Amino acid sequence: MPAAPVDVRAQVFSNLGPVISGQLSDDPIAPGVGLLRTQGEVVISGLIQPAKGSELLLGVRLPGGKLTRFPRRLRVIKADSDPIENETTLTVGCLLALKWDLVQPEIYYATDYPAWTPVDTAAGSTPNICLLSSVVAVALDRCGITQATGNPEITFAKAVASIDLSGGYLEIASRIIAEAGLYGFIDASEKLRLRRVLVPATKGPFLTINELLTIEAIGNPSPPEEITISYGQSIWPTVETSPNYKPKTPGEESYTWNAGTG
Amino acid sequence: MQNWTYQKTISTAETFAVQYRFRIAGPPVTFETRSDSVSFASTSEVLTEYTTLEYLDKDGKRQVQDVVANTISTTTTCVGAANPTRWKSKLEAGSPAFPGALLIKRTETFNKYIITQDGPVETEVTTYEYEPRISFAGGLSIEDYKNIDLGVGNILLRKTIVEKEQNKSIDLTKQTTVIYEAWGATAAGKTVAASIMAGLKRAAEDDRISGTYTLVDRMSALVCRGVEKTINIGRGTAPAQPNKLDQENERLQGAQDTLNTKGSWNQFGPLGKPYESQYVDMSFGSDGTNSTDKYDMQFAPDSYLRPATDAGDNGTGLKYVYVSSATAAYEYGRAIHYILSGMANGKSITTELRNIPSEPMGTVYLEAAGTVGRFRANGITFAWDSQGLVVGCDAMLDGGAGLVTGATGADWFPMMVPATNLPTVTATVNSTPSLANTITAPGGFDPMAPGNIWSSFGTAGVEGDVYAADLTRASVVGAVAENVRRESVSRSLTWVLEAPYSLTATTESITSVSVSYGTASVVYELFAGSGSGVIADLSAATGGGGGTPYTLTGGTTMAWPSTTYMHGWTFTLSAAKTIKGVGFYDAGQNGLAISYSVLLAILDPDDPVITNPLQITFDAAGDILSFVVPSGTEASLDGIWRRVDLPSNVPGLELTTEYTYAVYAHPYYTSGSMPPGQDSVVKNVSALTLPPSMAYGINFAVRNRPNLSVTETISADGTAYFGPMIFFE
Repeated sequence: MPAAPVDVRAQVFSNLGPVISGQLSDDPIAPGVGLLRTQGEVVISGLIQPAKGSELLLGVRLPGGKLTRFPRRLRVIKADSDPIENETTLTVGCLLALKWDLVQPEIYYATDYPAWTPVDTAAGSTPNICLLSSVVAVALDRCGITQATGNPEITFAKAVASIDLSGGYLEIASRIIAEAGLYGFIDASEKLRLRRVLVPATKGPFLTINELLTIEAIGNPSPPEEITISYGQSIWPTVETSPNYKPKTPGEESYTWNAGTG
Repeated sequence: MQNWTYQKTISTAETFAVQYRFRIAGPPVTFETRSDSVSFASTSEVLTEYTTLEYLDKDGKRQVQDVVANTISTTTTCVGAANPTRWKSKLEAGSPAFPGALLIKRTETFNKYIITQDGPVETEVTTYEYEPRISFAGGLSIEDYKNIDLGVGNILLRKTIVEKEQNKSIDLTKQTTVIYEAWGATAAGKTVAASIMAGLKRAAEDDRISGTYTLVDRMSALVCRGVEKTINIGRGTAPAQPNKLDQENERLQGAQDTLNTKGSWNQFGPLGKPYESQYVDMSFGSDGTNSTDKYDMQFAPDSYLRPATDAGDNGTGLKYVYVSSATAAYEYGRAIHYILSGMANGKSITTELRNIPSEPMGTVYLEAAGTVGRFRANGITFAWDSQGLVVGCDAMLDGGAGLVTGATGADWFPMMVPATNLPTVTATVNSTPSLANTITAPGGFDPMAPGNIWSSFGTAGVEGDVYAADLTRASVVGAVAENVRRESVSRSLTWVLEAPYSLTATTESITSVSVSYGTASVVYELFAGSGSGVIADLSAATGGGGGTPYTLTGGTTMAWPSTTYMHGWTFTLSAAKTIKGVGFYDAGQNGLAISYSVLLAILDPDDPVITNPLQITFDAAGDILSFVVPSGTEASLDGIWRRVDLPSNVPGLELTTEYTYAVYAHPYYTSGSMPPGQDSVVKNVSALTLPPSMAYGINFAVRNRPNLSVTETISADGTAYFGPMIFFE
C-alpha cells in the first residue's frame, strides 16, 4: 500500500472573521449517552460580539488549494472579547450543545399526542400510551432541532400515560436514543442524524502508521465480565382485559406444551 | 428581589519562587544559577442563582418554592503557582514566563428538579470543572516549554453527573454518579503522557513542539471514569440485595399468583409486574464473572393493546402488540459492552483531517504488522492554529478485519482467533481523495474574506468522504465472546431464543471465525404442538444415566408435514461439556440431498423473538456463510448421522449447567422443497439414552412463515422424533 505522507497544513476560515486558532471535540460515546455533542473554542481576530445561537461557518483550505466545509456545524454559545489582544474567543457548539441546558417543567401526556382513537370494548380498552419516537420528536421540537430523513426508527413504547420531560429535553432524548441502541449527532445539513451503535459503516479510511502522527493505547479499564441491565415493565391496561380475549401474537401464552414433566 | 447571592474571598498574598540554570553564550558557554519570584493573592468567588418553581400540593393549592438553579465558583491563581515547571523552562529558554499572569479555575454546577405535590425534588446535579490549560499541563510530565504557548484558555477537566431518585413510600433513595474526566487527569492518562513525553524529549525540535500540543489536546479528551451507585433505605441498614435465585423465586410466585387469580384461562402479555425491576445478565468472561457492571434501563419498551386496522386478534378489533423488554435490555447491554470493550482495547490516534471520517463514530481501519483492525472514530477532536490542523480520536476497536497481501499476521489487538487466520483484504487507493463537501477554490479566493463561499459547499454525510485509501468489510472477527443469559419470569412453557449464539461447522477449508452483530431478519415465531404422549416416551428414556451416548431405539424416516418448519430439541447439563461437532440425520445413509445448518441456542425463558441475533459462523473467505452440514457424502457418516466436527483452530464452545440449550436445524422443510430421501429427523423413536449428565428437554418445531396458522402441529400424527445430533468432546 503506498504510504501517503501526513500533511497537517491547513488554514481554517470563518464567516465571522479571521481565525487564529481553535479546538473542538465530540462527546465520546458512553453508556447511556445517545446524543453526541460537539463543543469547543474558536479564537477570532478582532473584537466581535455575535449573538448567542448565531452560526459560525467554518471552512478549511487544504494543501493544494481545495476547500472543504469543516465537518461540524457550529453555533455561538458565548463570546469573550479581549481588547488588549484584539481577539475574541468564541465558545461554540453544535445545536445539541447550544440547546442542551434547555429545561422547562413540561410533562409529555400520551393523550396530547394520540397514536389512535381510544377504544373500549368487551375485550379490553386501548388508552393511548407514550410512543418513545413521539417523545423524542417533542423534545427535539422544543429545542428547534429537526431530524434527518432516513433515520432508524425508535419503535419502543411505554405503556404509561405520561413521561416527565422536566429533566431536560435533550437529556431525556439522549437516554431514549441510547437505550434504543442508537446514537445521534448534528450532521452536515445541521439535522439530527441517528445511527446504530452495533452496526458500523463497512467503508472507512485505511490507515497505516505512516498516516498517523501518534498512536497510543486509550488506557480505559478492561470491560466488565458481566453486565446486568435492570429494567421496569409497565403492564397497562392488562387488568382491564377480558378473559375472553386471547391474542394470537407471539407474546401471548396460550400454548400449552411443556417439557412433559407436568 | 435579586435571585442570586455572591461571595468573594481574597486570600493572603503568597510568594512563589523558582531557581533555574541560565545559559550564558560563550565561548566558553557557562551556566549561572538564577532565581525568580512572584507574589500573588488568590481570590475565590461563588455566585449562586436561584429559581422559583410552582407546584400544586396534595390539596390542589398552588405553592411556590425557591431552589438553587446553578452555582458558579471561580478561583484565581497565577501561572507561576499553577505550573512552576513551565515557569522554570521558559526562563531557562530565555523567554518571558509571566509567572504573575492570572489563571482562573471555574466550577459550574447545575441542578434539576422534578415537581411533586410535596414540592420540587432535586433529581440531578451536573458539575463541570474547568481548569486552565497551563495548570492542566502541569500534570503531564512536560519539562521543556521552549516555543510552546498553551494560552490562558480553560479545558473541561471533569464532568460529574449525579442522578437522584427517591421513593418516599418505601423511604428509599438511590444515587447514581457518573464521572467523566480529562484523560490527562487520570492515572492511566498520566502514565501514557509520561511515556509520550519521554519520546518527545528525544525528538527533533519541530516534532517535540507539535507533539506537545497534540499531547495536551489529546489528554484533554474526556473519558468515563465509571458509574457509582448508592442505595439508602429507610432508617435502618439497607438489606442485602436478594440473590438471583431469590429474585427468580419471587417472580415465579408472582406469576403463579396471577395465574391462580385468573383461574384456568391463560395468562398473556409479559409477566413482569408493573414497575417491578427485572434484569438481564450477560456474561463476557470465559472464567466466570469477577466484575459486574450494572446499568438501569429507564425506557424499556412495554407491550400494549391498540385498535387493530383489521379484524384484530380473534375478531376483537384489537391488536396485542408484543414488544420484548428483555430483548431490548439485552440489546442495550450488548451496546454498552461493545463501547466499553472497544474503548478498553482501542487506540488513541492523531492525524490530518482527510484521514478521519467526517462523522462521529465513523469507521477507521488501522493496519500494523500486516494485520488490519476495524475501529470506530469516537470522541473526534480538532485542534488548529496558524501551523495547521490536527485531528484525533479514540479509535474504538470493533474487531479484526483481515490481513494485507503477503502478511503473516500478528495479534496487536484482541481477537477470538489468531490473526493469521484472517482473510486477505485489499484497500482501494484513491488518487484524488477529499472529504465530503470539498470544492475547488474559486479564482482569487481569500480565506481572510471568504465571502459567500458557504453556499458552494454541499451537505453530504460520511458517504461523501473519499479517503486516500479505503477498505470495505461487511464483517469482522470480534474481540470477545458473549455468553448470553437472560433472566426474567419463568413460565410453564419454553421459548426458543432464535440463534443468539449459533454454531456451525463445515468441512470446507476453515480459516476464520467471524462474529457478526447480524442485521438480517432472523425472526421466527414459536410454533408449539402439544405432545400427545410422544414426548413423554422420550422423556422417560432420559435422565442422563447409562454409559452409551445417544442410544436410539427405533426410528424411521419422517414424512414431513405440508408446511415450513425448522426442528430441534432441548437439553440441560449437570456438568459442563465442550462441543465437538454436530450431525444431521441421513435417511438411508446415502448422503444428504441438500446441505443443512445446525444451530445451537440458549433457550430464552421469557422471549421468543430476537431481531438481531449474534451469530458465530465459520468462514473460509471472510464472509458470513450459512453454517452447513454439506450435501452428499462429504460429511462423514457416524451411525445414521452425517457428522461435522469443529476445526482444530477454532476455540471449543463450552456449554455450562446454567442454561437450557436448544439444538436445531435449518433450512426449513417444506413439502414442496423436501428433497428425496426425506433427510430430516428420525421418526418413531421409542427410546433414547443420552450421554451422562445430559437430560432431554422437549422437542419442538419453529415455524418460519408468519402467514401459517399456529394451529398446525408437527406431532399430530403422534410420532416421536429426534434430531439433529450434537457431539461432545
